[in-house]
Amino acid sequence: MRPIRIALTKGRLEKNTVALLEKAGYDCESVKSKGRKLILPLGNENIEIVLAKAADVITYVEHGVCDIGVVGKDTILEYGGTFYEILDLGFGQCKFALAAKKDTDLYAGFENKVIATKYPNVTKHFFDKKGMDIGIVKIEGSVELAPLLELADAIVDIVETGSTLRENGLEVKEDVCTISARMIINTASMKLRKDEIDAFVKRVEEQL
Amino acid sequence: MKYNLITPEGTKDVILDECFMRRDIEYTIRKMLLRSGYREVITPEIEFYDVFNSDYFAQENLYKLFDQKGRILVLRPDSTMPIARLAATRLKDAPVPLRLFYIQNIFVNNPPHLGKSNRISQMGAELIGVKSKMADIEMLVSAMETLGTFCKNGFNFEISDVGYYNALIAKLDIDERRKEKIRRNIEQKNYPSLNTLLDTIEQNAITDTLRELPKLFGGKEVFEKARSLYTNDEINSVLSELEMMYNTLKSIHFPGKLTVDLGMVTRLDYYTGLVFKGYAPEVGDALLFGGRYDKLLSEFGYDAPAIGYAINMDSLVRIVASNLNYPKQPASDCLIYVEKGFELAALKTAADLKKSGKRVEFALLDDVADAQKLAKIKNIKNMTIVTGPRNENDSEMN
Repeated sequence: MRPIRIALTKGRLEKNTVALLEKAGYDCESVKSKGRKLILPLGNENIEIVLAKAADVITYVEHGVCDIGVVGKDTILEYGGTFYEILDLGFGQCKFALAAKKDTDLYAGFENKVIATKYPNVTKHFFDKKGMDIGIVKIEGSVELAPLLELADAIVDIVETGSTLRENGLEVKEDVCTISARMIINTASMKLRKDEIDAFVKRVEEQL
Repeated sequence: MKYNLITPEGTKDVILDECFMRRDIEYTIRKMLLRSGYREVITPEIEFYDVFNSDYFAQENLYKLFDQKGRILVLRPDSTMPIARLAATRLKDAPVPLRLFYIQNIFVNNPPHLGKSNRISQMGAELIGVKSKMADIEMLVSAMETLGTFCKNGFNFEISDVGYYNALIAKLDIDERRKEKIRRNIEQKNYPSLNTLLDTIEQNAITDTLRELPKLFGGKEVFEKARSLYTNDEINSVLSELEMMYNTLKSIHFPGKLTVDLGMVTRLDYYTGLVFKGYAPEVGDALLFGGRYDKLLSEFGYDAPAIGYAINMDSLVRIVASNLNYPKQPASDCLIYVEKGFELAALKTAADLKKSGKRVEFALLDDVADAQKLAKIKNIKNMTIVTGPRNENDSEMN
């Protein structure tokens, strides 16, 4: 049987995850000195690490080509999917927030407000719950630009420290929800390889 | 833009070996079910939307169209609803137990680019009109037998009873929306969110049990664990019936692994009691699911209990295809080359060969050398040349 495969979100979450795995006693040398390799064995364990972009982590886990994934709650909220979401890893903490220029009142006037975001589903859901009809513009890069260029009235984005907002004259109007890194598991793997996955999850959970 | 060279999102052509294997699997399954008294039905690909207009199906996932009177039609997203409709109408007076099976496509309008199929071939069996332990066993064994026949790398068969969760949640005095949230978190085994949610309501033995529910899966130890958490008469009877079923199935010695997952609480579906799923290492999602649905037929005006299951044939074909020893379509035994003017003689030659059990095909080429090349490409071992003045001239090729 192939090794248990763990899909890690590249970048910010990667370092934290590797630190957590090392704390749990896994040898992560291969991941730390990975070069350009994308699939990396984890020490002498029957485990492989796959490095992928956040949304792809969900895709790989959902299709069962990876058994376990580490991915931000932001990505889970935006892309959804069928998998078990079993651990809040605690790191990668930040929040989704609704932000606008200081003088903007988003609930004034009758015209539909336009919201710029990289996360159209999260944004839609947030305003659906308020029963508010809005227009959504999907932006790929710096979302803060959209209200400054007056393309949008506000943005929904991930806020960590809020310094980018401040420097551009924007402020948080409302928090949408808090997010952090999660461990997700393929529904079939959870059943088919219960013992291996249980053992791994337990070792990691003890370090949280 | 003209789309005449591609198939719609989520669909594909099933061709050659894959098609051969699929029909072969279907044939085997049909034989198994026919031997157990099941009778085959085919329901229409299109149904009125009203058949599926219930909480069980998200409307955005339905393919919809209109008939000439402006009524909404859908491509069926499931076969159990049409069979419930059928059983409650045309087959209402048929003697029970009514055993039906089907092998047909369902259609789900998934969001694009997820790599999901929008046309899914399913086979399923339904046992209508009887609620008994033996009926449940019959269904479960039928499902396990089918998986055992094709899943040569093993499979995992999992049983549960939605009655367990229902009995627990009924004891909580909270609104439906919060109950649904709790259910969803249990289904997704989302421990962190489930705990946060349960923290907001009054703590008691029920909330403690619900916190543990996502973990209540595995072998027979699950029953002990569940009993140690919280029980009442209803829960006791659900657990002991399920345990009895577990022990019965365990004693049959199937090649697969049998497990229990009390946290199997699927969304707003029509299951009312025993539920089960099948997993195989080759596919990332359950390839078999089923359960008891004792209230569904009454939605169509016929109050009768029922139990059934469906298997994703596409997944089954994938599993079978990964087994290199599974038979594919064999090459023809004989290629027949026909000289001009000897067509009738060729027909007779072909008929005689077929009668003796050979697979034969005509070369349909003007040149013997080309026909010999073709035989090589198609891996056909023998060539027969039909020509004159003698009628036949067998030439063995190596």
